[in-house]
Amino acid sequence: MSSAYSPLLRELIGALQCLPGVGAKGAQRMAFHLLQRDREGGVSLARTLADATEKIGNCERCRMLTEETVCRFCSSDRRDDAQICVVEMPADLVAIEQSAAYRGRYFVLMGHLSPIDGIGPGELGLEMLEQRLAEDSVTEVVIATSVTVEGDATADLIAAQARKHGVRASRIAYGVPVGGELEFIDGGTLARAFSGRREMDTSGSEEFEL
Amino acid sequence: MTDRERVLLERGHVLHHRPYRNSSQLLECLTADHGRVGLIAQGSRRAGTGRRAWLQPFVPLRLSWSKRGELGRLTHVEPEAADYALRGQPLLAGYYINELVLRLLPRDDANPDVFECYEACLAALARGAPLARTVRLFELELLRGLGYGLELDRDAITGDPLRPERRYVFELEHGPKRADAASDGAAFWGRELISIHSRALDDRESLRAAKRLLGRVLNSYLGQRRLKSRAVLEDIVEMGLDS
Repeated sequence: MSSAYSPLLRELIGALQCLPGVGAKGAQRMAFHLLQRDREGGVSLARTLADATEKIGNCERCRMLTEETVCRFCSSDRRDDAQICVVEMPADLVAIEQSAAYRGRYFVLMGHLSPIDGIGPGELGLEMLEQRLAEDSVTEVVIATSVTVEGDATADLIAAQARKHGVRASRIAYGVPVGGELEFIDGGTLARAFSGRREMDTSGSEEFEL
Repeated sequence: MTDRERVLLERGHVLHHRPYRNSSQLLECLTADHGRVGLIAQGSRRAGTGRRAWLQPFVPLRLSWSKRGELGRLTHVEPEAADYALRGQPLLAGYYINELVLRLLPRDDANPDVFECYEACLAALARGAPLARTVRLFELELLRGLGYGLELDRDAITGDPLRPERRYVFELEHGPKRADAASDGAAFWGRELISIHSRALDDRESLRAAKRLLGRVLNSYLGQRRLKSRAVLEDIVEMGLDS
């Protein structure tokens, strides 16, 4: 960054570059915007950032990001204790919540197995998950990791853990998206959809009457 | 010198990938004729590109890229064959061999031998060949492909063929020589070294010896930074999750 700027301004531009996808140019634009057009926004950003980085930690039970010791998904008494859904990232949990398809508890891995990056069971908090699986109320773990080699490998580890504790393990289905037309679906997804096909109920219903 | 290198439909594998910028990936690939190359797959993390399904480890691919400087830009990818569908222990072994290639084979150094033994190893893992033997054979072939092949058939000092019932110590860059009383913990039986040399490795004893020998040799080439996948593997085994 050009040394023509004053030291503090240089420092600000440098600090903004810690954000993902922000380079020198973008950081410069942000710094000027805050200083010239929106000082108030800058002050509130600084305050919130300081507050958040100080107070937000991981939930004691599910590792979700929260400023409480136990997050609201774990403390709510309107959720089903029998199921734990395991997701990779907080954003995955939020996506599942928005779909309103699931009312059980969660566990957030904060990543997926990646041996080459040194991310293993310890980094994913599997010891904590183990304690959860040992609780009597839990009967099923729903594995909602990504459908990638790493996601599959992570799912295998969790399934092995569940087996140790006599807990049923299931994996969310993957394949043809809702509204998807087969001819536009890539071969890999179609192959998965075929290997994961499921039986249709042919038990014969009552006679159809209008 | 600043010419753009264009490569079309070359056979290759993704060894490792990490997110790059907003929606791209930085891939480390092992290719048949260009060795290990670093490629950027633009927009591959965006939903609906379909590309991402292929850009994963353990899928035989055809890759096209153009390149000027250190990193290339992936222009096309298609699967060459069905993926190896590794699961459980063979998958973990796959990560281990990927990290070995990443660490030991420098970028842009064409090495068809390494590519060949890499594919052979994945195929063996996929058909459920005995795991330890498969990995040891890969380590041996990788070292040979890199020009660090182990000479294990003769005494490095006398030049005589090894005798199965004798004890030898192995010195890096020299080879086996007769063990003396002081070297006993680090010594190998002649029959163990002969088994490693002939790639037989068909009994427990020689497999254990191969692990000990290759561990030492690989560590000396890897230097201070230890293999991360190995530590992760050990954690998984320790937690009893390797089934």
